[in-house]
Amino acid sequence: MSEVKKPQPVPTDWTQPFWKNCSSNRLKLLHCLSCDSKHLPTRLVCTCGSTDFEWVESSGTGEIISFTIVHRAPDPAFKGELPYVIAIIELQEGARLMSNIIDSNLLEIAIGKKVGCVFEKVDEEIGVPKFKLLID
Amino acid sequence: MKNIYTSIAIAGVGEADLFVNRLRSAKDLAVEASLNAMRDAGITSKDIDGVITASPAADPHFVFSSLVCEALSINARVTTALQNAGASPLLGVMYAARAIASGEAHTVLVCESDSRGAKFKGDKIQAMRAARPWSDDFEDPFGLTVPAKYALIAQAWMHRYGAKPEDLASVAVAAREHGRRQPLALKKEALTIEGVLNSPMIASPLHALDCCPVSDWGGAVLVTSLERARDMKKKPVRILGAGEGHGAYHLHETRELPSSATSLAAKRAFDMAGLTPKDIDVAQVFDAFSIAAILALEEIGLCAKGEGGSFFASGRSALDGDLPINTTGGMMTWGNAHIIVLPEAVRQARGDAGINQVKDVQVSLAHGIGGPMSLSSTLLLAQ
Repeated sequence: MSEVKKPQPVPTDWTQPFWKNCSSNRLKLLHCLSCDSKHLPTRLVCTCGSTDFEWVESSGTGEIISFTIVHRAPDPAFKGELPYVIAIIELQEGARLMSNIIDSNLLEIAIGKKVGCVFEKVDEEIGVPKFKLLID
Repeated sequence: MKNIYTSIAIAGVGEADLFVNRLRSAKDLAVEASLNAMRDAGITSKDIDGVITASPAADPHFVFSSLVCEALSINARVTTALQNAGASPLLGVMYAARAIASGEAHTVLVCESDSRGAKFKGDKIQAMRAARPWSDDFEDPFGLTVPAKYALIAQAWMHRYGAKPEDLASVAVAAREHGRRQPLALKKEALTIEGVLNSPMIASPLHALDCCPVSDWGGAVLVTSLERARDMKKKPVRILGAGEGHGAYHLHETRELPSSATSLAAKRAFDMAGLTPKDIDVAQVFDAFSIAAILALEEIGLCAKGEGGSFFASGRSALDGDLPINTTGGMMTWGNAHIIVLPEAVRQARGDAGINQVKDVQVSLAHGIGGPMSLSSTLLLAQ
């Protein structure tokens, strides 16, 4: 039986710096030099219309905008982790991303709670940002 | 902006037999529904010169609209396959209207079908993912599912308004009341709030019965000029207002969670028609998940923000309530049939919806959403 693997990001020319930095424990965001907002590389053009970006390091801390505890997985690879938490997180810098809340008490997870980034290293090219509840 | 819709009508509607898991391809289901729509209008394939389909997920096919044209022997001047999930059917009507108003075509078949019931065996969530031809680096590594996406929206809605899982559950209870009256419905017994809350958790706060079942479906409507429709078999149904609304694709790029594209779409439709939500007599809204129906009512403006759950719980959405919602039992009853809103909204406007008919319908609303926040469409229909 072949090992069932979780889906991993497939870096493109645009997103490669994001995943590569995560593999060495750095969360980097696209900083718009025109309007000063920060984004994940889901947007390749800023909401202000500019394409003038630089990569900047994020504090890695933010708060939970929403979350769900998943009891039915999309893929057999996730079955061993059920139930797991998916959250929308707003980083201190204003950018949002989807991630998992790991190694945290499920009963304490709530909207507005503070979280901090931890990294799951896949290989030298790819890391995946995950989050843990921060103790108040 | 010029209102092209004043010269457009919907002349016929039809469905494939729903929830009968015979072995039918998405093409078969499209053909079955389309033939029923042609019979309804009293026309044949030779009277149609445009076809707009959706893109089936369980039974995908390259240039699907050409496949349907060929099967129906339609010589199309205009054809395309949309890929906008639950917003496709209503957007299809809008594109059809534009094609007719511009003179590119005179009668356009809009249909949507998929064979998810027949094709998705075993664990439906896993079957759906396995059939999906794309991946998403910003969602897939975290184990996101479609129910989990709606669950994130539901959790944000509950938090903002202090709502409870019971509020979500009331949508499924109300849907069952309409659904169990239908002759072909599989589930005839009443559903209770406890019944929903006791069903397995899928992605908190959504239980299994907060999610629609997985089914086969096919639906079709015929869009033509008002002038031509007058010579067809059924009373023409006019499009008083039509609107589409768009938001971000990813939930993390949506700034106003839990709000969605629906409010933008509805506003455009109401502005075009010169109507307000108070003018709506009956509404068919997208209800693949309980939270979707709640947000549809709130964002269209059919109830106040935060009160979608109590709207269903109080009986206001019942057939004899002040604003009947999803008179067939909706997707909650019939499964993933996004297009189910459209034939029913047309019949309500015509006054021939049978046991589902609401009295004295002047304006009938249909709503669709895809994404789940990405894009939405609203149509306001009347005789």
